[in-house]
Amino acid sequence: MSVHENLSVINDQKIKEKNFVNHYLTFRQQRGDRNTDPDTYSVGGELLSIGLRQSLKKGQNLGTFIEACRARLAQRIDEPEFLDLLEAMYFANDASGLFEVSPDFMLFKSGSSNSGNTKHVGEVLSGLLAESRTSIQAGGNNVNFLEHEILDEFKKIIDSFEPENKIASYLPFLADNFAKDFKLLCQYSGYMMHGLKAFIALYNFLYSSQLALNINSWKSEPESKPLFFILDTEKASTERKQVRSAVQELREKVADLFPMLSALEYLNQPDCKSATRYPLWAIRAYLQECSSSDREDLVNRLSIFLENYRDSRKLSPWVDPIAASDEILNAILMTSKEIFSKPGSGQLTVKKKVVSAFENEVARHFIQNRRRGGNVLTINQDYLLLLTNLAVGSESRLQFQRLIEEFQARGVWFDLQSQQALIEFYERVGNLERMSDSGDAVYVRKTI
Amino acid sequence: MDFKLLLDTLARSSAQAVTTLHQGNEKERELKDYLYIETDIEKDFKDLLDGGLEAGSVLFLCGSSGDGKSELLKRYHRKYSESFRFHLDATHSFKPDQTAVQALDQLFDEHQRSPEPMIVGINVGMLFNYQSSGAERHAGIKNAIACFIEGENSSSNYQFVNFEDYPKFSLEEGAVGSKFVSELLRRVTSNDTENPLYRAYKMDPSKEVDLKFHNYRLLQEPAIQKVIVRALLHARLKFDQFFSARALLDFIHHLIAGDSVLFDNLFAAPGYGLANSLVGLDPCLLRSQKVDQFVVQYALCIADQDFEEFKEAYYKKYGYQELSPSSWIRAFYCLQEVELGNNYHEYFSKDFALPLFDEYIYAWQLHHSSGSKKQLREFYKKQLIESLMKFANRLESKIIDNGIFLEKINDIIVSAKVDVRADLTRIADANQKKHQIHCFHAVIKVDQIQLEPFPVTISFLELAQRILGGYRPNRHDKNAVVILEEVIEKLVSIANTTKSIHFHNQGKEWTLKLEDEEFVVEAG
Repeated sequence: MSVHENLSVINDQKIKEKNFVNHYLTFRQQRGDRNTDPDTYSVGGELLSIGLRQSLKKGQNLGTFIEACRARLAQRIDEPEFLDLLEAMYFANDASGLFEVSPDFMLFKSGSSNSGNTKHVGEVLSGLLAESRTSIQAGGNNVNFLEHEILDEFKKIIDSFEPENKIASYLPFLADNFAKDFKLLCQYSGYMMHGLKAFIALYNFLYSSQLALNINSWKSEPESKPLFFILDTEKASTERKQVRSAVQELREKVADLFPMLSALEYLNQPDCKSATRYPLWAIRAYLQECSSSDREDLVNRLSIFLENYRDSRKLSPWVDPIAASDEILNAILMTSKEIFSKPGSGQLTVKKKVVSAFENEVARHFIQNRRRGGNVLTINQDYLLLLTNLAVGSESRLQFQRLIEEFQARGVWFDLQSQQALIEFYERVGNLERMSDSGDAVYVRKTI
Repeated sequence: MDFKLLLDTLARSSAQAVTTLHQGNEKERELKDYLYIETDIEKDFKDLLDGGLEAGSVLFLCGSSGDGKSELLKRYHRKYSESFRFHLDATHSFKPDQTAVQALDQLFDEHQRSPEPMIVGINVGMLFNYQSSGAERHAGIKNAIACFIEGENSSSNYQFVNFEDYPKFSLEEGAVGSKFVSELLRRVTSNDTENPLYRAYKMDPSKEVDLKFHNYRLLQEPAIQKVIVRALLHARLKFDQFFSARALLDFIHHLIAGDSVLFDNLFAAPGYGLANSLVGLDPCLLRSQKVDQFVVQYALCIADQDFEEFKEAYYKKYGYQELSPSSWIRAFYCLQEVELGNNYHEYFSKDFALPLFDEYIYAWQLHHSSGSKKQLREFYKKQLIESLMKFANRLESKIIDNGIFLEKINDIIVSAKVDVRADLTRIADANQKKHQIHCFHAVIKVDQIQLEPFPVTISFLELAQRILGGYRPNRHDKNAVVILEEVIEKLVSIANTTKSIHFHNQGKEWTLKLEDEEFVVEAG
């Protein structure tokens, strides 16, 4: 369904009692002190399913598969004691051993988690992958002949599957990189199993932070906005303003996410399951492009919605004149911010809780308190090596300056001092190649 | 001109450190001319010019800053400026609002308008920049640069002469060291009237007491020059240090005119560039009983008659200098091959041996010469492959006695036997570049499968030796482990394809074989 269809019924849209966000956000308000990471296998399974365009055949699940494997192995091996060993190795404990053999088995867990957190992360990240429509070929599995047998059995219960995506990506620039990076990961199955958890955490943060930085500039298509990190071994001295102010600025922008996305929900037919959801900037772009009669009609409908919206939230009517499409969008978004900033209101508490969920769940590994230095965004060695490998991508090595550009394209920015520290880091790791003493002739190699 | 002033022209900060087409002071010019050494790159460059360049072609003379590009171009400018166009400094722009890349665009525009061949001195980094951001209309040049980066030194109208292809150090048998640096040190110190520095030294009335003259006298000792060249070679191997002519001259200046005595200037004066790397090679960092004992005794003023005698002999030969115990250790190191008094310093010579470097050089030579298959096989078997296997099995070294670790799932360990051997037939092919000294390429095969050659640097070899000695690096110990892990990963993936695997579980062992598509299980 198009933007037009979504907007043409907006004047009839009932305003719900509660504010809600169902799309585009990987975190919700934090409840309790428990921080749970998203379930790696579940999110990974979802991503693989979309990337490989595969899903389990109907009626198949982990239980039936284990049974089939047992039967197959028992047929070929007539040493009961050894079969017991294999049972303990691969199938005991909900087949926990199986998942160490090959990433393919994650398909069993695709979307299986009950945790809200995992669901939201899985939905957004698989949305990124689906949007780019990249189809992925799994790299060859490096397994021995016994495990081949198990994988053979697995292939029997796999069907091809055409993912449908009803959510237009909010950050197309990131979606492209995400798909490219996930594709790379799939080519190195060993590395994938080892690094998938970090990969999900990294992209969860990059997506959320860039979404926050882009949400207010809905008049243009999103792009990577500067967000300065330092290495965890670096000092954040006072003259590095970009580094010192990053967390504070990000926090302020994150506060706008919930209010603005909750208003966006109404523009995308929240009650219609089959509707396609569009980001703010795409709706704005449509309103700019459509014919003037259409625009006039839609602006009128949006105005009626605005009136309802303000009325149901007990706000006085909007007074500024509304003629252009940007003005009405602006009025709706301002209204949403107004709703969430009433002192003492429940909405204000919700907004605060959402921000703290971002800090404690999504950004936990990236925000570091440096006491007098305040909070800074840091990236540790493990994430850095992962990001480096992703950025170098299918090449075997990349010129340092190009590497920095690749980082930026993914929403990780480094100032000149950090770039110096990066060079030292790579030198220590041993994946740096210098062609001359000049800083421009430096290459960084992949470590997988 | 006085010794100090003349010496200072060698420093990086001197006005003479950068060559332009204009003449400098005559005395300074004389020293520079005297020190100038004709190198192989110059011969090749000259041959190219003499052979004539095609109309419309460009010759890039590229290298790092301070390699001597401008010096070289200047020497040929007068003779060839009528037939070729020279451009010395590609990092400069012609106008304040122009970047260096735009300046190059302009230069190439002008070049395309005339058939005159052009010779450009350019930094490799600048070349890279031009490749990524030069104007599209010069796509031909950008392509040529891309080819050059991939190792192609000439394509159509564009030729590249690269200083990196003419390394200043060699590891070849019989020529380990650096002709260039040795010759430079010799020229700086030679007691020849042609040497302006030596003449200035002779003329100076304060030469008996001043520290820099003391250092100059020390540097005149050929055996000390040898130690310095060796230390520089080690820095080149260990830290992948770049050596440009300018950096070397600056270093010589630092040795003589630094704040302290030569030994300390050599090993204990962190600053920038070369001197910084050498700090890591300080003989005081070597832990040995004799060295420690000497330092303690000296600090406690315990008299040692032999040492007192040696000191006297030293003062007599080079002049008086008050030295700290660590400076004496460095002195002993530098004087290793000098006969002096009762030769007290020889007592330490064993402690100063650096077997790692010698072994690396030995292994490098084995890889770059034909013959000596036996020693090669020995090196692979006892050092390289042994350490690879030890590292691969590090987590379960007690359980896997014969084979390679594949995986561990729910406490059950899987391993496979593989035959890892040196692939002697491919070694020569993998090691063709004799000027690449900071690594050699090891070639192994697993069962019958050939593994891609992998580079072995001195850090890699050091790690291998430490692993053999019982050291177990972990994930956070990133140095050189990356290459090691890469190799192991390939080994494991090949081992995974074998038709016989072993399971180890709580003291019990099973072997599973694939024979004619049938599974065969054997216990024990």
